[in-house]
Amino acid sequence: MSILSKLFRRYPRYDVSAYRDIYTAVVTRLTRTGVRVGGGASFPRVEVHSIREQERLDKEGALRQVTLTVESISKSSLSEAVTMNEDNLRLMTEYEFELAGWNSLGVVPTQLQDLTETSDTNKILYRILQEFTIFLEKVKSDTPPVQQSNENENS
Amino acid sequence: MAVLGNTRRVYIVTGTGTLTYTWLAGEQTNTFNRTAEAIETSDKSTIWAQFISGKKGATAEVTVFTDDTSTEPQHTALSALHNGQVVKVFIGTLSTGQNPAPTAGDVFEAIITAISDTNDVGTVSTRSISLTATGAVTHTPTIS
Repeated sequence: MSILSKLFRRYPRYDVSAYRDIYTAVVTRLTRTGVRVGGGASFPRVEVHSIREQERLDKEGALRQVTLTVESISKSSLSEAVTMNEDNLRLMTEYEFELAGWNSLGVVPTQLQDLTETSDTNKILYRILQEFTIFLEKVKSDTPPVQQSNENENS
Repeated sequence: MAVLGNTRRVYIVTGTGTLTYTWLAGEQTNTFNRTAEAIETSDKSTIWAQFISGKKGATAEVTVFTDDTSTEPQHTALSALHNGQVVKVFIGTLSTGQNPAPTAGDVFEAIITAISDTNDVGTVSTRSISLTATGAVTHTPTIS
């Protein structure tokens, strides 16, 4: 039996991280023509990084809060980076995420930061960092069933 | 041995004979307060105040993430408040296995005295439910 199999036998499915599901969904959502999404050195480019899954919000671990940064990088102009960021905002919030095993409760755009900087070769990179918080809830079928017991009370 | 707060949860108890424990899904926190009135018995002959233990009571409060689904136990609590009904509650830990039973905690009947919803921007809505026990509180392990 593999280490992963042992891990998943020990911890039920509802206690797994939301990281993989949300990262895949966000990259898919932001992918469009004319913009590279992910790593690489081409421009214009959008990167999804600094994903932070917070402490479970409820006692069962069904409610999750994931914070991530979507970075819009342009080599040609600040205007292009700002436009890319506005497109990202629209794509992230215009309709709910559909994730297998999760209900998306909503996406909240939080901080925006302009980190335009000069590189060693004096070429300017225009960088807009937009932070999002995504709230997720495990679908009910993955949570433990109603518990039953024979009467066992003291007096 | 100390325990994590995650394991001590609030359940709505239904049924007779075979009991069903339905967890208040989305529970964030709960508090349970046991009280005993202090009846003063001192008189002029004593320097220090003296008391005997009077009527016992208990209150509880549970905060959950709001779920207005009509089949969820939160709806049971809302119905109990609206209709002035008594609900049976267990706060504590259940044994694991096919027929879980209380291993530690308290069972009591209660009236719902308040349900407060909080809806802040950028956070998941929460609901606080306040209960006041009516009648005896039964503790596990048994108190002799």
